Amino acid sequence: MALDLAARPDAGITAGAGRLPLRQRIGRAARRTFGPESRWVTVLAAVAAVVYSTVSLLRFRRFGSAGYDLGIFDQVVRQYSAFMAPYSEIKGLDYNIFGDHFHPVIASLAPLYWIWNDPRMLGIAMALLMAASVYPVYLFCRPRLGHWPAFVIAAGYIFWWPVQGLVDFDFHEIAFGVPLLAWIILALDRRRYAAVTVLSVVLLGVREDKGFAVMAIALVLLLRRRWKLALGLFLLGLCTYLVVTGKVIPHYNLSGNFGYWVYSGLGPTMGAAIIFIVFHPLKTLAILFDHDTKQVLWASLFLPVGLLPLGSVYVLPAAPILLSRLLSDRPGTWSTGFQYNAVLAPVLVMAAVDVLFKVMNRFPRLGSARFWAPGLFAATVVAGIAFVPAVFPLNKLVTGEAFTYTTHMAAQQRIVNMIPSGVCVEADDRLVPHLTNRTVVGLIGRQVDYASWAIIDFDQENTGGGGDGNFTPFTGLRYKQDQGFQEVYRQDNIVLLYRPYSLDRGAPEHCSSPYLTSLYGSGR
Amino acid sequence: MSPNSNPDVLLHRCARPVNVPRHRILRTAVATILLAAALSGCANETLTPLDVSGVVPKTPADSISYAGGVYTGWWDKAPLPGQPTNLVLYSTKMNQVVQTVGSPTALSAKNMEFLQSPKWAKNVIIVMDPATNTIAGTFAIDAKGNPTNKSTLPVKTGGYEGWWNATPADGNTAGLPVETVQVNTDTNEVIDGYNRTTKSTNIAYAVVPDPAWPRHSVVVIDTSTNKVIASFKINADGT
Repeated sequence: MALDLAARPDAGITAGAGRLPLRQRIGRAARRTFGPESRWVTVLAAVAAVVYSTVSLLRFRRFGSAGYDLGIFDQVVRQYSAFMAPYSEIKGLDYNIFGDHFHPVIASLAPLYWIWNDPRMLGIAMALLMAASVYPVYLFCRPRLGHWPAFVIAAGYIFWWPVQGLVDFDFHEIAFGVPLLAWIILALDRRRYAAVTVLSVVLLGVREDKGFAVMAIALVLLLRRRWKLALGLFLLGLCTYLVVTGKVIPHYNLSGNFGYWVYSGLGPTMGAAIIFIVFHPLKTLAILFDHDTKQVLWASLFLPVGLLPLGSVYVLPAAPILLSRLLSDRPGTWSTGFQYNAVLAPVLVMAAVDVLFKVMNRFPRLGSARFWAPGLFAATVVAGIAFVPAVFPLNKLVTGEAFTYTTHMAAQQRIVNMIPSGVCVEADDRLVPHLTNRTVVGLIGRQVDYASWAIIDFDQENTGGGGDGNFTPFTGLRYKQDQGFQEVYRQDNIVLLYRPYSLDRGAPEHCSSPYLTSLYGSGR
Repeated sequence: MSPNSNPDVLLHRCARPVNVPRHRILRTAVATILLAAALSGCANETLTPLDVSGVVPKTPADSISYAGGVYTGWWDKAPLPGQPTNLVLYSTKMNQVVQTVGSPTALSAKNMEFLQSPKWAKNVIIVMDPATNTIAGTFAIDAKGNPTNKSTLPVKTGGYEGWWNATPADGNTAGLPVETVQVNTDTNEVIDGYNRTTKSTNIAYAVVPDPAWPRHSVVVIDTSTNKVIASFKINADGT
């Protein structure tokens, strides 16, 4: 059975569906999506969920996860699970997380904490979210390439470095964006515009900058002459971004502003930036490539997919996400590290397959590409896992490094266990997630002036969290000792400090969120 | 090409549905995740709270002793990783090194510029690593040389300028507070104030400390509403 390459990829999928009642159409779509043909994809998704859950759990166990950002999200989701405002003591006392970023979608994770009140739940949730993105990638590829090539692409995608990078960053709200964007592109491809609309609205709740992604989705619709829907989505994305960054975030931000507009090369405001981009397109283009790190990122994202995404309209939703990072002043966002690239992965892979399909149609002699191209992509992923551990953290799982447990980790666990529940703590960033579910914890010297306990790890270069408030372990120790803390325990270069609670230090209620108070007492 | 060698036929055969119920796959995945959770240490976190009932409150000065002209403190204990070990203890009162720890390098002009900076109070011992020109600690002393808990920095009072007490270039002050005071949250004292109408900076205001105020900061209060309209962190020397 040869695939009809001349056919439209979604041919036969939508035909006749419109005549059935809605309930039957949904059931039919579900059977088609999750039916026997895609059973192998379910196996792949299950494997990915298990592998990534394992990676996440092992990172936590080995004190590889950090307060920034796992601890922050853990505190926020715990607040949601108790039907309370999303405060994070790691970000600051009385710091509502909406003053930092707008991601109400993570409230949907709250029920998980009713099952297991633990930051590791977020790692498992993220693994499941990643696994959920396998289906749309496969379903997008199957009509174009056939079952097994599509399966190979889906496998290569789910273990591609951008996805691994996200999992290796503990947890991030962007995890919701990965499956959402993948499903949106599938819905666009199948002309399911109601689904595109609903998913785009949900996407706006992932993060404030997803307003730009929704505007890009609107451009895709514009190219298809879906004028009304395109205009509606474009305005929705634009207005959401402007309202969220102009009103919502400043309302909750302690400084009264949105702190992530860092585009000194473009201008102080979005309006100035647009003017700069319009009148200086070449200078704007130059900014996208003006650093080694940026060039490496371009290569790492586009070379493994043969630059093919650049020829597809489906790459548009990735454009604002990638460009906003590369145009910003924050070098951390230019790199292959951290969580930033995961949301690009499904977009680039699906766009690449879209172009591959068109090329095969245009040049029938290249028909064999539907076998070797997926194989080549998957081979780069396998080679990456084997030889490039810095970008493919699954290497640690394969080599067994992820299973090692050092004496230092044992000491970290022992000292964490020495902290009583319900107290106020300042701790090294790596230890913070191990305390969030039973104490009020922040980073060393940052916010929790009422702390009675502190942990400083001298095997770390700094006390963590980044930014100007960072301490070296030594300066952190001196700082805490100047505040009256005394060393009460030391093991393997980790120092446990304690300061008896004193009423004159201020309000004890700040040392214990209402939720923790109800669980553990006043925190004194 | 025989049907058996056609890759599409082979692929189609391979892609035939396997007879594994979906719920079994999902059940296996969930069970495996739970197993991974158990194996990766979820179950080995028995809390062993440290007994600190005998620990009494100490001030920073309590941890430094002075006897026979020698200061004894953290620099005499076994050094932790990253802790400087070649130090000088410099007295701002005597303007000279009063003690050395380890084998510090000779003080350079750059060191002296730092040590003799007007930012330090008059009766302070500065613990410095001359090699890196970094301050490892400071403590105030009394007239006899004994450590005290006084500030090592000259007390600096004065206000700060910001949107709350500035006038825009176009002179339009609509929406800006008429009268504000600035309160140091560590001392809960008014350090400055401004009334746009009277141009006075001497504002009588009874501070009601709020535990929600951030520490080591200045909060700007609109006296008409008693609400904090701005706040910012400050260093111990007021900068």
